[in-house]
Amino acid sequence: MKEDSDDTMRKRRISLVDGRYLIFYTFDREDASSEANVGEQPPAPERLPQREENSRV
Amino acid sequence: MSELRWNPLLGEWVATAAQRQDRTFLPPEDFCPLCPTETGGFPTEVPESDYDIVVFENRFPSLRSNPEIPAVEATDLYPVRPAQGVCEVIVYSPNHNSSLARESVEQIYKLVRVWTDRFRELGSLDFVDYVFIFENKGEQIGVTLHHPHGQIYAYPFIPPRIERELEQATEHRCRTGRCLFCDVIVEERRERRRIVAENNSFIAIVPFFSRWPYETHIYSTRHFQSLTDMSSGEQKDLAAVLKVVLAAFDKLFNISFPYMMCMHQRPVDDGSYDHYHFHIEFYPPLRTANKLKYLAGSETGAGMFINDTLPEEKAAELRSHVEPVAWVEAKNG
Ligand SMILES: [Zn+2]
Ligand SMILES: [Zn+2]
Ligand SMILES: [Zn+2]
Repeated sequence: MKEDSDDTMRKRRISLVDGRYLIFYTFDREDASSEANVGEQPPAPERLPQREENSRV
Repeated sequence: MSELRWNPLLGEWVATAAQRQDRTFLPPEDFCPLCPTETGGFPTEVPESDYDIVVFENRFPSLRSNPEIPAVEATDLYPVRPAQGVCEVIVYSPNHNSSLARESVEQIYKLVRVWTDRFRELGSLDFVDYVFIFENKGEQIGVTLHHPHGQIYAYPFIPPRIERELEQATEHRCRTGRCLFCDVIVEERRERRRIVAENNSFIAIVPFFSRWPYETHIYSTRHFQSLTDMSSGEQKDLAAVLKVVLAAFDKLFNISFPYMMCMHQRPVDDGSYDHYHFHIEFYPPLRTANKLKYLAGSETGAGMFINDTLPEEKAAELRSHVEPVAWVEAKNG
């Protein structure tokens, strides 16, 4: 749904001596204004199921 | 020399890639080709002294965008085609002694965004039908390069494992009207014992039908088909659940835990795959700290895996090592 929401990531493509490509990815720090869907906070600590002792039945 | 040869017994392609290993430039003993190139030092694959995440074409690819003409003649029984595709290496970090498990969740989030970009770019190539993102990790599965990295294969066909899952998903949809993977999530949530971790967007389980002792699957809880369908919140949640699972793996035996990580997404051949569902499968080869599970006669020759452990117990083991993820960098301005 959000095709190119990632405007804080930059690509720099170079050509190696043998013709292969290499791409450097660098990242801007996200600022508060550049959010697409970042209204949410970082994910909450994992919700854990209750511990099971030994599940062999 | 490389080409794709058809296996008529199984109805699948085999890549025959006999590379001449050109060893003109012998690197120093402790040389790592994935480290940054130090000023005045022996040149690595990455011609700069620092980087964040780097992607490059594999030096010895089994598939290439301009493939050679096959060296063997095709027959009716034995079709042959050029080994066209792309093989990329993706270096997760400039830190030689790191691993995905040890990287910060912020760095894993960056990786998720790079994966997404690679999926989009490789998926748009007209000769590519499937983009497979994976990692082989650990000497136990034959990886000698310890620098944290993964790979991407862009295939000119849909590989058989994916075909099989697609068929099962189609069959399930026809029979029940529902998504097979969404139903797996419902079933695993009802049972609960095989859940390793969960966050807002992903669930990690040791599935009911695990073939490997610590086989772990990560499913998106929302029904979608690929990285490019994710919101940035979901990308962050994927980074978080990966960090949790990988850290738990490492704590199991207090070693850098070996695994194969395989990302299963929809094909990119313009077909309709609404019934498929994004997930990542981990196959760790260890049964105990120093015992390997081998793929022997039954697994390899017949296709039936024998898992001599209970997924319910292995999930509990992993769960006992789950710790909350800490995002270090503040994300607000
Ligand atoms: Zn290195
Ligand atoms: Zn689904
Ligand atoms: Zn799968």
